[in-house]
Amino acid sequence: MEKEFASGMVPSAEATTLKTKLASRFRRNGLTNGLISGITFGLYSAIVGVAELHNPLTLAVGLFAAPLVASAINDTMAFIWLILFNGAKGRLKEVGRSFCTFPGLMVILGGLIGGPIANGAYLVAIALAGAAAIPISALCPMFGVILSRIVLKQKISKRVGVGMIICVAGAVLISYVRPSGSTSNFTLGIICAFVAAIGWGLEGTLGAFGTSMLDSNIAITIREGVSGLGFIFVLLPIFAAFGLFTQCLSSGIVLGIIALSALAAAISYLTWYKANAMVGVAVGMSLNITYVLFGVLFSAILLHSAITTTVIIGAIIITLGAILVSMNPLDFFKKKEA
Amino acid sequence: MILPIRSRVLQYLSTVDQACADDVMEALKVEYGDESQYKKTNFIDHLLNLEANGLIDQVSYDQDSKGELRIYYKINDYGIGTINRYLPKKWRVNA
Repeated sequence: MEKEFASGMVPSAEATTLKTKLASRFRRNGLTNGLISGITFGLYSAIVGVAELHNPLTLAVGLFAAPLVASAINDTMAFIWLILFNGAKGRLKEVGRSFCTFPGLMVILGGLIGGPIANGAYLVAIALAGAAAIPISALCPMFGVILSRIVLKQKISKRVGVGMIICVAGAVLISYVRPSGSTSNFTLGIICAFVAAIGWGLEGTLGAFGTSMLDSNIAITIREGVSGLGFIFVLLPIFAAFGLFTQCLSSGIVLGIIALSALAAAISYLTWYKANAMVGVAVGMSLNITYVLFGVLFSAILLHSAITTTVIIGAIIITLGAILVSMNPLDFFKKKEA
Repeated sequence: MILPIRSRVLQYLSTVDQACADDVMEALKVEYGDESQYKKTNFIDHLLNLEANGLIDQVSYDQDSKGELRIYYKINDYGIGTINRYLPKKWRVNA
């Protein structure tokens, strides 16, 4: 149907077709970015798992040192990958310009909350509450939606809301492991898991706010740089892991493996931020959470982890949720009828 | 101070009644013209993102002399409020 604007001008049918195609391509790109963010985050998680099988990470003392050091090197290397990418695209000047603006400061805050704070809380949660912490952390899209509703006034349709709940349910099912007995600080661990989930939801919201006024390519570069520095200069000293960090820097094999995981992480965060800006936080985070599924699949390939019946059921649920978030299934049947 | 380009595109739209990607490019050529990010595809992407985030609205569309789609955008109240709240004073819109 031709649309008449306030000026009284009626666009040609060809212009209308071109505009419809542009809008469809933009939405499709947003959804594709969200799905790629899930696939590459799953790949990143599995590759980090491989790195942690090599010395000196295998020799790490305590529960926190190895994952913290891996995260510190990973985020810093992801920053370097993104700097190279933006340099090749001629956008490096944008990094300095964006850094000093209010949206840039919000991206920095989001990076600190979603990076060192949420990841640190997640590691403490696993140490104190065991595997029970993992499904709770998978609730992050719910918090992202609540916060983006409050901060960004983003509204979501019933379909997206239901699809998101299905995605979260699938992620919880895949990551659920029956607790093997509570530790003395179990409740504190659960609280830390909620801190992580809220932190990642807040990062999604602050990132989406930042990228409404900043190029997503630049925002995520700032995020990874800030997160890497936060890990190196705040978390590593707190958890006495600086020594392991310097040992890893002189290990070619560990650096090589983490360079690969960092490339996957750089692509994942870049596409996640793009998706949140293009199709909204609810859809972006729901597609991103599919990383739980892809993480299991890549771990089965790279680490020979078992794929259980629960994982298969969770995979089917999360796929249905991702489809519901991305499109109205009724449209699919309408197109077939046409 | 030069603004990040997406913020500048939004700010530029607060100074005109409406504009398409070519108009924005021409107006910002002095500030960003020598950078390799100065490409029409990037400007179209900035405008689509600003629209997706509810800061600008489409006014009309047609085809230019080459047959390419040309969409005209106009800043809305939320976009002006965003500029006045979050961009440096120099770039704010006078009420």
